Amino acid sequence: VRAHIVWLEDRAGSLAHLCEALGTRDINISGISATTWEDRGAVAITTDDADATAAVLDALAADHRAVELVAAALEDRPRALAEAAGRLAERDINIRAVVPMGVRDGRRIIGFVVDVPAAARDALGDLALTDADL
Amino acid sequence: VRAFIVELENRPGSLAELSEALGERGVNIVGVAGMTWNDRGAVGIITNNDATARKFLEDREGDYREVELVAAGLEDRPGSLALASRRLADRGVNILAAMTTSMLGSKVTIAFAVDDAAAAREALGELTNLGGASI
Repeated sequence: VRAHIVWLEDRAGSLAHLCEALGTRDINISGISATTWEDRGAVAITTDDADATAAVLDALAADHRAVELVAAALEDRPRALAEAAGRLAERDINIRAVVPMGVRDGRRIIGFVVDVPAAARDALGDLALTDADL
Repeated sequence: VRAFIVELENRPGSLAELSEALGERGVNIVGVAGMTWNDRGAVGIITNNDATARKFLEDREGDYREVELVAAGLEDRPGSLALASRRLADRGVNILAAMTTSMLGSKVTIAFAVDDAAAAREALGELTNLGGASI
């Protein structure tokens, strides 16, 4: 699954501007993860058309990059996230972003943006989902 | 519903350490969204035990802030997030964090952490009706 990370100003309207540009081109945002700190903000989005999304972001001259999400299915209990993040840490894999992707069969689907997706899938083992699973 | 936005170092293990510490205290993280830039990062978490999470974060070295969440139930179609975020922007409400929390049928629930929850609820209007979904 591809996602786009976009850096935005931390002010009212910056997310709306981005979403409107995608919406007017009939691109559906299927997932979002956004956080701000001090005067910076960043948003990770998944959409139904990654290539068209990249073209819109280029046209907006937005500071962005395309990334691959490594999806994991986590049980809804304490330490579930710790176990997944711990498996990545043990392989010295840095988590660049965390994107919630919904709930399926009582499990929370989390997308991790990492430096080395293949190694992350290997580290996550039975927790990892393939694109076919999604 | 409240969330915590926690500043983390951008390095392997920082999310694991935070989530392990909360897990050891029996706190379940029911929602998470995180992002990094340069050498820093911030993660927004929703828990099932805010009091215990708050106590841990107060005692921990590192910054965090506690924010109120306002949830919106959006149709799973192009333009729906634009509609919600534009309503917030038009009221001057700043979005501090946002995360997808559930997908139920054709509805997607988005939790917004904002700087003015009352104004956000008013701006979102009928979108705050989650139609049976929850954060």
